[in-house]
Amino acid sequence: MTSLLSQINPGLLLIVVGFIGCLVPVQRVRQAMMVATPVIGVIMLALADRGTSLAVANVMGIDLILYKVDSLNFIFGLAFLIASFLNAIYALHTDDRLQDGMALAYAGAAVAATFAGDLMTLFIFWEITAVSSVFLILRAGTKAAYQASMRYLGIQVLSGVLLLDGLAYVYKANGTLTLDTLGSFTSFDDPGAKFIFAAFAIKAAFPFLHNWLQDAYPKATVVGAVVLSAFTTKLAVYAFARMFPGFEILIWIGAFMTVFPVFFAVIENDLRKVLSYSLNNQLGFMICAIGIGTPLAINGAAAHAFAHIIYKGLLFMSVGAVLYRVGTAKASELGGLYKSMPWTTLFCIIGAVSISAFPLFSGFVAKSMTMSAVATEGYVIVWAMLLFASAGVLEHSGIKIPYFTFFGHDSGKRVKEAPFNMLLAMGIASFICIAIALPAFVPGFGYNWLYDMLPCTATAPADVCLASGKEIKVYEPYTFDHILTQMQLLMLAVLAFMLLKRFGLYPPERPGTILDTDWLYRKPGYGLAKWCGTVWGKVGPTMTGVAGGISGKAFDRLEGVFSPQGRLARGGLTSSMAMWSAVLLGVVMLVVLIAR
Amino acid sequence: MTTPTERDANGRFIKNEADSTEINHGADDMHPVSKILFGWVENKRTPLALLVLVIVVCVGLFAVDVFHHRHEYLHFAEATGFYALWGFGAFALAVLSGWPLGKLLRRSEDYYGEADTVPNDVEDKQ
Amino acid sequence: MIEFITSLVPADIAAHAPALLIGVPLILAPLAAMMPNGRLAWLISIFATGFSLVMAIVMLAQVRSVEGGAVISYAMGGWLPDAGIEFRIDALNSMILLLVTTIGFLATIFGWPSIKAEIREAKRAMFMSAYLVCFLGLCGVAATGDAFNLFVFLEISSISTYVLVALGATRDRRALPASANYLMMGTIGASFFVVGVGFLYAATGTLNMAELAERLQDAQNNKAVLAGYAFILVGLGLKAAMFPLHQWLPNAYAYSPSFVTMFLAATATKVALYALVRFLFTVFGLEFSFEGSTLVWILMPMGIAAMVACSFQAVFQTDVRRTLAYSSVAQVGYMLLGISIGTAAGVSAGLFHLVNHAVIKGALFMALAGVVLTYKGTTLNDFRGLGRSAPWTMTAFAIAAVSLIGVPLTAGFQSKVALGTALFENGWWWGVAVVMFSSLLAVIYMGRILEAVFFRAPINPNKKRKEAPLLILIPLWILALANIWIGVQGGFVAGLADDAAASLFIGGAR
Repeated sequence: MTSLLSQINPGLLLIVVGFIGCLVPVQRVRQAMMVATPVIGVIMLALADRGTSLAVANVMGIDLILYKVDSLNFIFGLAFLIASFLNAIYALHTDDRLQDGMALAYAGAAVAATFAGDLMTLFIFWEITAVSSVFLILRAGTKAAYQASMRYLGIQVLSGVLLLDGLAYVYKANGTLTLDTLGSFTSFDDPGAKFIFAAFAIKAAFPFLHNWLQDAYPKATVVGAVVLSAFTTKLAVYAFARMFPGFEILIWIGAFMTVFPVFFAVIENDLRKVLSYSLNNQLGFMICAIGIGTPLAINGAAAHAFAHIIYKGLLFMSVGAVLYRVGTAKASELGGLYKSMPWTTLFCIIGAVSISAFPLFSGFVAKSMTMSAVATEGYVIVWAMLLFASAGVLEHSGIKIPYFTFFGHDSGKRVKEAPFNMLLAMGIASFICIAIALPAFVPGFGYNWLYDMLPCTATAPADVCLASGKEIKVYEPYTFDHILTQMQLLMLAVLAFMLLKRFGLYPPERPGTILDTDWLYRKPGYGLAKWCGTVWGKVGPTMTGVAGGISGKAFDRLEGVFSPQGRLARGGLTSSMAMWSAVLLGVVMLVVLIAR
Repeated sequence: MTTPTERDANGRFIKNEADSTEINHGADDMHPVSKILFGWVENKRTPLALLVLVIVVCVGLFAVDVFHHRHEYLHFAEATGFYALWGFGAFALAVLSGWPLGKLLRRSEDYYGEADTVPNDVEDKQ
Repeated sequence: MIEFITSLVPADIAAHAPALLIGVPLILAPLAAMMPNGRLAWLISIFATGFSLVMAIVMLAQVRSVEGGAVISYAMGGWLPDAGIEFRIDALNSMILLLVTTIGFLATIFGWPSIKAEIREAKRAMFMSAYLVCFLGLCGVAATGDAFNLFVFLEISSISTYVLVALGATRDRRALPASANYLMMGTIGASFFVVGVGFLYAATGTLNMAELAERLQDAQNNKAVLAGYAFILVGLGLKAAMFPLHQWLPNAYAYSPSFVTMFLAATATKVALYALVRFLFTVFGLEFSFEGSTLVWILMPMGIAAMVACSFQAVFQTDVRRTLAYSSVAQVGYMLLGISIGTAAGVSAGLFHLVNHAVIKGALFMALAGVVLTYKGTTLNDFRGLGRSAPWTMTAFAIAAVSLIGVPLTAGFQSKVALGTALFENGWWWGVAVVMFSSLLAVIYMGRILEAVFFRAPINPNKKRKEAPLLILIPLWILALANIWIGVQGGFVAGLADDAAASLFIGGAR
């Protein structure tokens, strides 16, 4: 039994149970499945051997390595499974078969993709994450959500297609698709590297490719946004760490990615959109670390991803709980909710201080590794950008979210506290945020627990850790200097907030839509398509009509052929066909005679 | 749940003064846990006290920096108060840039023709 | 499976398989016409097509019994060529025959509910008879080794097709002009072809294709041969709906009875394309200096034009049938592109796509027939919300649709990969780009339909949950699952295509 459990990719189990869950009508039975399956998944993962291909299938002559655990993907997979467990608890108050099932299948696809041992397997589950997650947006049931979900699906599938293209190049060049030391790229000149980079870049929401995220997540269901926040982007981060460690361009992309969302988050009114921008900013830290590529940096990316999945989920949960009770997540319509939702307030604050990286909270032990790695490698400007972004995180996620929702200007809204299941999920997430950040008074507990799971440990380092040739050192987050500087950064920023607020310099929260680069395809792009459609419908026939008047019958026929309404049916296209036959015959004869 | 409907020029809801007094001080209106956890927020002197407290902490942190020499990989970061000033400056820059950026990028909520983004699984819609 | 079926057939029958494959439907067709009601005629047709299918399987086994592919030469009535007519079955013929008979058999089973709904009782027996004639004509084209005989079979199938298309008039009067157009165009194509054959006969004095191939070697610069080549290429191109000679097709597909559309879409153009390949690579050959240029200057541009222009046209159609019809022309473009590469890999990819497209379009039009049967209309609006009211039909439709697009793990993906590989090997990397672009258009036009089916609410909310009848659902799902089977285990069909292409290039028939 244990040997069987240890050889099945836990993601596959989640996918299968997820699809079955869509068909189970009894709410409690289905929800028991949703909660229990991630737990079983964690057990399966714990039993799995590291570093060997545990399940192989041969399809179309390609060996698919369905399950391969090593120290790099272990921590990502574990984080996904924990997130999936928390999400299932968070969703207990709803009775939505499709959403429950698809959320689990989506999580499963992310887990399965993480443990994929080759590119083809990765591609398959990559696409399943795209298709299953779209339901979490669709179930919101609004017109806006429907349209956003279609845009989302299009972009996600495009990412898959690019991955497939790259994969084809890799296969042609290497004759194998396995993801091991040889599987990672060394430069963009490697066959397929550019395609695969672009595919990952879309999913990781790189700058200018990012707005599917801010477009779709805030329009998802209450539960859906929580689920979505955990998987797709972190899967992309893992994929980058696996295949593109040490690519210098990632450092700069990551640094830019941390900075620009800060400005959007300041003026955005929809708090779930603020969190989406914040998500982008956090991804920037991880991408930057992968670009550095030293063992310390890879550890930083992995630890940050783990901590981030939990605290970002927690923040989405708390805003979701408010949305669920109040019916809006707009900062301008919220405020003073601490009076009626104290537990939600408390958990939200824990999430906020975690993401802001206050000492004793998970962001502190995770993010500082990245900062330290960047400084060690001497990237001065990048380091300064990340430091700026750290203060920015405090602004939009650390202060704006809890302050404008629960304190600030009292909206006068009095609601019930969030449902118990939501509080339970938030409580567990809060516990994890603190538990993995406490100083290691007892070895193996506190942050040591997290650090022991990291990819680059002295005992079992992942392949990527050795590539840079740097020594693997034990990182110590709780030094006097580190605590001091972090507190200086954060407390002075808090002081800045208080002063700006007191002197009325803080921009008020106002309702509105903030333009981002998606404007390009949602306004001019959509307009262009619409315009083309109108032209096709109206001007087209007129134009061909005019041309037909000039050039006689032949053009009439052409118009008949190309007009969509099928005028052909009225008959009389025989002569045009006869003409075409004759023309073609002439052309063929000509070619034949010339070629002879 | 009481929901005010009028808004001021900034889009905030205008509250009836009488209502708010009642809400703030009505004993039944507050969650019992909230009284324990956040009762102190209600106190009128809290904002000032908080500000003073934060200023004191900041001065303290700055003072430590003056007497303690930190070791950094990037030497310019060893300057006294570097992190403190950077944090203050970065935060202020991010917030203040909200004024021009808001003017530049903010459009009406119905700009893309999708004003209703509240999902169907919120309590009121069920 | 193949061995099992072969073992059931007595040796005497197996020895005469080529004659029986054509002969049994030929005898049963008039019998079906004499039946008092349509149901009996239908049962006869099932028997006839089923029998032909068994014969096709037997011949496939015979051809595959020898390494590299045997060639069955069957002299009709014992008259040897040159005087007599020869049936000649090699790896290519056997593949096409298997395709036509399989589709024919499934189509016959599926057809009854659709025929009952769309054809008047008095005409059903005649209808089935005409269908059998069409079926045997197509089989004959794929089996014969005689150029003139090929013309005869082509005309047998075409003339019966005009009748079949015209019978759609019960449902839609526009079937009559569509049929008349098709008649005139088909006649032009056939005339071109027979003129071309006449030229070849004048130059060589033989009509047997194998003989022709040999004697043409010495007549490479004969102007009559050149003219014959041009006439044959254009004539068969018209029959195969080569762009821009495809214009008969959309209307013929859109207005004929659903059953006929399904059968024609999956077989008729495919057989004509087979004939084209046969003439290009067996009767003529790449040794003919002009042939390479026509591949590059005629077939390739026409293939690409079809892939792009007709995909665009498909995007703008409002009637799903017409979308699929234009898509068919575009898919013929893929096959022409494959063939025009002129390498074994290219021709193999073209043939592979030919089979896959038959399986895909067969499934799509079957599902469409189910929709016509239960909900009448075929415009995009009629498709709205069908995912909820007819999930089984529409799931099969969706499988075939993603296969048409070329999503991995489906048949369409396999043949597009094969085509892409062949293009790459030949250095035509831009061809890969065109394939990708055309696939993108396919995403759009099929995506529109799938979106309406699965995401839109029905216009008429009273639309009841109503699946297509089981007689439609079973063959439909066989074809839908075949799409996935070929997609996952593409080896069998790809192997057939490879063998077929190889037989052309090592001179199987020569």
